[in-house]
Parts: sequence; structure tokens; C-alpha cells
Amino acid sequence: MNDANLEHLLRTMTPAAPSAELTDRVKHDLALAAMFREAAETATPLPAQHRKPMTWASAAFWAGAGAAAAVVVMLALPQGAAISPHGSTLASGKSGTTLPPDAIMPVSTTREWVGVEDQGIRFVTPDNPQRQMQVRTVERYRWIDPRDGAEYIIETPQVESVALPVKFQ
Amino acid sequence: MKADDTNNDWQRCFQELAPKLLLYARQWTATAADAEDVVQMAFVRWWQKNPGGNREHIPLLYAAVRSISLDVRKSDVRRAKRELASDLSMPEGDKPYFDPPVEDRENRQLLERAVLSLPADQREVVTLRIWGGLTYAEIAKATGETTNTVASRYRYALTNLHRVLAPHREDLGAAPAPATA
Repeated sequence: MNDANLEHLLRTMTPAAPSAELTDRVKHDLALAAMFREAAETATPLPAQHRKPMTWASAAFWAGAGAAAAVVVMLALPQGAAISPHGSTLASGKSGTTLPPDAIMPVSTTREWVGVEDQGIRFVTPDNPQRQMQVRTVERYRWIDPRDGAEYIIETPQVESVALPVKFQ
Repeated sequence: MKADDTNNDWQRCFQELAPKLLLYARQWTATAADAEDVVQMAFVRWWQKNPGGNREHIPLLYAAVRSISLDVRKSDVRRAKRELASDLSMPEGDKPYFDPPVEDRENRQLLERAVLSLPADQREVVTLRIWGGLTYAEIAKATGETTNTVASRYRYALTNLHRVLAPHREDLGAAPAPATA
């Protein structure tokens, strides 16, 4: 078998096709990116005298402050709150909060369950037994910068102790 | 009409490139699902910077897949450690790398195993050359190596594949090698 035969043999194998879901996800992401781009293009820029040169330290500070603010806002949002198509208003049914058009925008927060450890039954008081559980999770915060589509992801592992009341029969 | 044309453009481009990109991403990711996530991120980023899908920029798309795959692999290693510590078991088995005709499944497995047995750098070059259809120069651009390095890795890869597949030459139905003078 020479090289040409070998190459021909390898080419007879067709790489596996992607799932239908992947195409849908790409379609959704491209539509979202177009929305953000439109929002950034139609936003009114600050007057020149109000703009300061951005240093890396101030950029890092504002990214962190934006991230922290996004976490607080997302935790405070009621069910069904959404970002409007023009990208800058959180619609919560109450008085909305308007974000600056060029701010990093939150996309999602997910919490992934990693594991749970049963630490047994403990008696807090003689007549109050509780099952102690240690729950390990990872919270993942995702933001997008509408100016260039850059994505920021922060993962925070968490451990929580949970006490469940127990009744013996 | 312009929005529809753009919509059709990216879909056509994606349908053509996605299988090759997935195969490339699976060099590094643990599962087919992770490879799909990588391809999703890379293609969206590439299309945003390259609307219309200029073919000259395809090596950059492969470079993006490579970079994101390596990041995902680092994250997978950390997640695997956490899951191991919590006694969670990972699902076994995954999607095959290739879609063969049903009657050719054994040959596909032979060839697939042979390619997977290659060192990572040689496997990468073979994937880009054979299934990605890239030239040596384009592979060099995608991987950050020189053209000479890419060419020599490809030569070593073919030599190794010949060696691994030699015992199965008859099963594969390949013609015997010509006699050397």
C-alpha cells in the first residue's frame, strides 16, 4: 500500500455529522450576537470630554464591579425577567434598570451539582435530631461584551451544610 | 432578502465545515458533546469576525477550535478531579468519530484505531490534511508551527500508519506495495 492508497483509504471515512441541536445552538448564538451588535451600534456614545483612557487596572476593576452587580441583579430578578431585544433594559415588570450600552451583559447563571455527603444524624438537642448533609456545587456566571462578543465565565465552587429534621417512628 | 441570504450562507458554510471541525476538536475533548460546545463557540466567533465565511480565513477557524479545545480540556481536568472526589461516575461510551457505511464498520474501526494510535501532533496534522483539506501552509497557520515541521509530521504519520495497518492490508483490500528496485 503506497501513500496515495493510504490517503484514499482514510478519505473514505466521513467525519461524523454534528447533532441537529448544534446547528440550532449556533443559529441562536449568531442571532444573539447580531442583536448585541445592533444595540452597540445604535447606542449614543458619551461626549468626547467625558471619556477617559482605559487602563488595564481600571478595566479589571469595572469588569469585576460589573460582574458583582450582575450577580446581585440576577439573584434579585423575579422569574421571567428578560433582556429586551435592544439589549439594555432588564424588564422585570417593575421599574426597569437601564445598563450603559457598552457594559458587559449577563447571559446566564447555572448551578451544577457536584456531589452530596451524608454526614449522619446529629442531635442538636435531645429531642431534635437532624441529618447533616454537605452539598457541593459549582456556580457558573457567564457574561458577554456586546462590543466584540467576548465571553467571560466565572466558576465558583461552593460547599453548603444542610440540616434536615428527622423524625423517628 | 439580504438577511435570508446571510442566514443561508452561514448554514451552508456550517454544514460543510462542522463535521471536520468536530473531528478536529475531538483530538482534545473528552466527549463528543464537549467537541460540539467547542465548535459552537469557535464558529460563532469566527463568523462574527468573518461574515460570509471567506475561505482564506478557514485556518483561523481551526486555530480557534484548537485554542478553545485546549481551554475546555483544562476545565475538564479540574471537573474530573471534583467529580472523582464526589464519587460521581462518568457515562461510558461516546459517539464514533466517523460515519461509515454499515458494511464497512470493521474497516472503519481498524482505520480509526490506527489514527488514534498516532502521537497527538501527527494525528492533528493528518486530521487537518486528510479531512480538513488544508495545505501544509494552512496547517502551519492553524497550529502555529512552520511548514517544514508540518510536512515532516505528516510524513512520520503516514509511516506509522503503514506500519500499524500492514498486518491488516488484505482486510482493508489495499493493493500490495510496489516492489522497490
